[in-house]
Amino acid sequence: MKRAAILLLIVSCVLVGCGKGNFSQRATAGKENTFVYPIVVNPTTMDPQIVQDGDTIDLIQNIYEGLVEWGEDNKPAPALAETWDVKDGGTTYVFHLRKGAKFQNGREVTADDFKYTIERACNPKLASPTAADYLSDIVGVKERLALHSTTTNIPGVQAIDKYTLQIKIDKPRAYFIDKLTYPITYVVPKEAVDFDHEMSDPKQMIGAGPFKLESYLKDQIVILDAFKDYHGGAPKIDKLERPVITDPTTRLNKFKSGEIDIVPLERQDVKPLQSDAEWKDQLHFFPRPAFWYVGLNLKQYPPFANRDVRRAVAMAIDKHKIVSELLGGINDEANSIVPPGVDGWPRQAQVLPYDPAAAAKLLASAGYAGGKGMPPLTMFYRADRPDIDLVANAVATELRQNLGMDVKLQALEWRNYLDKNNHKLLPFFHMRWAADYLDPQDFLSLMLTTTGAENKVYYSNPQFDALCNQADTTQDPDQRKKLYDQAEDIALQDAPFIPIYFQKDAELINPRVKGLRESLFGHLPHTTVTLSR
Amino acid sequence: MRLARAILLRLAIGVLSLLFISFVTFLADMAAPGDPAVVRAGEKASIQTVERIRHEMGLDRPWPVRYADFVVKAVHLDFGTSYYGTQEPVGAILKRDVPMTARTALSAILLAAIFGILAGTLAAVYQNRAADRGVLLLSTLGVTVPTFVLAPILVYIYCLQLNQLPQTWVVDRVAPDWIYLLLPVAVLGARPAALLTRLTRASMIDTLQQEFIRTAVAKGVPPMRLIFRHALRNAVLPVITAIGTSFGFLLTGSFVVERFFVLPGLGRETIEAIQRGDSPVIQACVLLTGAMFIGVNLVVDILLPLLDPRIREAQI
Repeated sequence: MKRAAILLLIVSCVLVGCGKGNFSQRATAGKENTFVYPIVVNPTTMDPQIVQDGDTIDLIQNIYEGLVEWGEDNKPAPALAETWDVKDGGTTYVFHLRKGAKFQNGREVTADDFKYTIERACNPKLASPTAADYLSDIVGVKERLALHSTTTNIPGVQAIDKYTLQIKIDKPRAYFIDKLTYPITYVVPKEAVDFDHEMSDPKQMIGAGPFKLESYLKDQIVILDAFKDYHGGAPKIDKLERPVITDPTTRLNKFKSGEIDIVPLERQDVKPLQSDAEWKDQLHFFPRPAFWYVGLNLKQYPPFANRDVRRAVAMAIDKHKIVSELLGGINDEANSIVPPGVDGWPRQAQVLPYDPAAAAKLLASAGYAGGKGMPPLTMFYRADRPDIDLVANAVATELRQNLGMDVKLQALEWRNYLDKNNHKLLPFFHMRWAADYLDPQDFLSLMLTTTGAENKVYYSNPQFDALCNQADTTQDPDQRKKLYDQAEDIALQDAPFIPIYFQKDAELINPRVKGLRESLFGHLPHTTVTLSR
Repeated sequence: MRLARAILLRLAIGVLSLLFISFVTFLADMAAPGDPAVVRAGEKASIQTVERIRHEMGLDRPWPVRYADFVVKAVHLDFGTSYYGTQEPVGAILKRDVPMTARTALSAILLAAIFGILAGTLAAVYQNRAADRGVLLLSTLGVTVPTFVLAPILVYIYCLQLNQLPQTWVVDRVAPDWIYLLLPVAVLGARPAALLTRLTRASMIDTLQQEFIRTAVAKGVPPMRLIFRHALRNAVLPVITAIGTSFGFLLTGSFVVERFFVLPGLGRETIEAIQRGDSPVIQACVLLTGAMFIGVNLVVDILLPLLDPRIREAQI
């Protein structure tokens, strides 16, 4: 009995520990001017000409810089280009570069470097996944990507002199300048990189941005130092540390102990924090220019070729309930295809209302009363994402209840999902589209015109096509907006897509962080951040 | 001599198993629709872009060619390079990740074995009394509470409330390494420790009832000597076999633990490689895990006959 008591005593000592320590204080000592926030995945690449995921972009946009960048007003702002002129009715852009702007290896940035960078991005050997989307408006790029041109030269890009770069595009496109905010044109020095291959050595990471790479330990951390010779003046913080922390609970815990300054939140963590007096003031929401939708494939599920069937489906889905009950009321319902943040949105679009009775009637008039006569339908979605799972389940349930349709659900692993979607094989799916740039063209013309590169649902309406084609090349902003408004209303009424909600991200930010700059695409490079204790 | 022959035979079977494992992994990767080129190209890429990337990655070659290429290179310990990020050679990734996993897994199994054998013996000796009940309660918890529940609880107590231990492994450590590894090893070792405790207890209770123990008591053997020398030596044999199989739990446990405690190890690498469809890394990780499993079981099989003459005679 005595021994058992001693044993219990030892066990309880181990469990309870012996008093309060100060480990987190010891761990953060000496980091007063180091800005620490996690990156939630290993950086997918070091190469600005390759990168396309938001997490990695958020890292490397602090190292590299391009001609223009997003401003806090969500318009392209000068970066390495101090000013630019648009000529020839909108087909020629002339950029005047900053004099004396330096790469982190000390050499001055010139127009030749931009020409080299764009030619590298379009090199078929490099196989950049984003080159076609962002650069094919430039004269000569399509031919180069299709292996039709034998030289590396891109005729549309010319270095007029050391500080003047001229880019010619195929036709007037008001959104072309926006495309240049994307990392694919962030300038790299030719002496540091390989023309044919993706960067594979951290030593190759040399840009003209506000921070330079100090160390890169895969799976662990990326550390950036302030670049003292940055053209906009040295950043106010000494260091930027990006530890790789993939587990959301671990990230949140490390924020709570003060070891990291910002933490991106998972949806399930937001609700408890909103009602927690200690943390709710540090909670910040960021609307993103992205919408989650349900897609209806007109070819893969024959009844969807019938406009009334699509309209019935759209009217049978209660997005208000999905947003307020399932998604915790954080997001905004999507009542348009183009998200807020694009100039002129949100607007009163002619979206189909939730009306299950009218939906059932419409379906009956299309010859499928109570869902009878409709072949079984499978709804596809990406696996392992709780939000997607919730919404897909809700949509399927409502179609079963309100329309009597036989809807099955199938979650697919990402690469399988993507492959099927690329080949337009998914009859019915739940997915997201995020803006590449803040222009309706990126949502309407690209996704829903008959020849649109991202039209994965075989939607085709000549009237819609005509409006988009006209708007794409119109220069007058008001006239353009009117045309896109009309096109969007047509698409909403035809319902090849049913918008559900707009993306909104949540983060906890330590109040010691001041001077963060934001655009709709995320944090801007941390040139103005200061840290107080 | 016969022992050496048996070991050689086991090694040969091990190599064949590895070949089989690699083939199954390759087939599984093949059979899954979509391929790494699709992931690499991203959600906005056109079919032409995917084709171009597929060609650059060499994925458009027929699969027998790719598998043969893989085997020939693997024999020379060249596992290719990762498809993503810095496109690091897989060998370099393993060289970096294996030490961490080996360190935590071996510490965990060692601690689990020591704790399990001592606690199990204690419980058996004091069968049905307070100490036994306490040990049983702990070991039941250890078996039933999953790793992903235990880890946040321990972090909550020791890091967030008491602020005595670090939450994760970091690059700039302010204390000796073992302080950083304390929680991961405890979480990793909890389940094997509990299993080994229960097994030792059962085996020990069984042994203590046998006739040779009664004889030893009658002869007047002192209690400590009786328990550790006479009883435990016999009772521990099934436990050693179990240590081998527990090692399997450790490897899967490290998937969770390494992610949670941000340890740069094999478990985390495997999970991430699977998530991004990084076939060369997946292949190497699966092979290495298989090799470790085969290795540990081989060691156990060699150890058992050395400890127990009866097995030696029967087996060989």
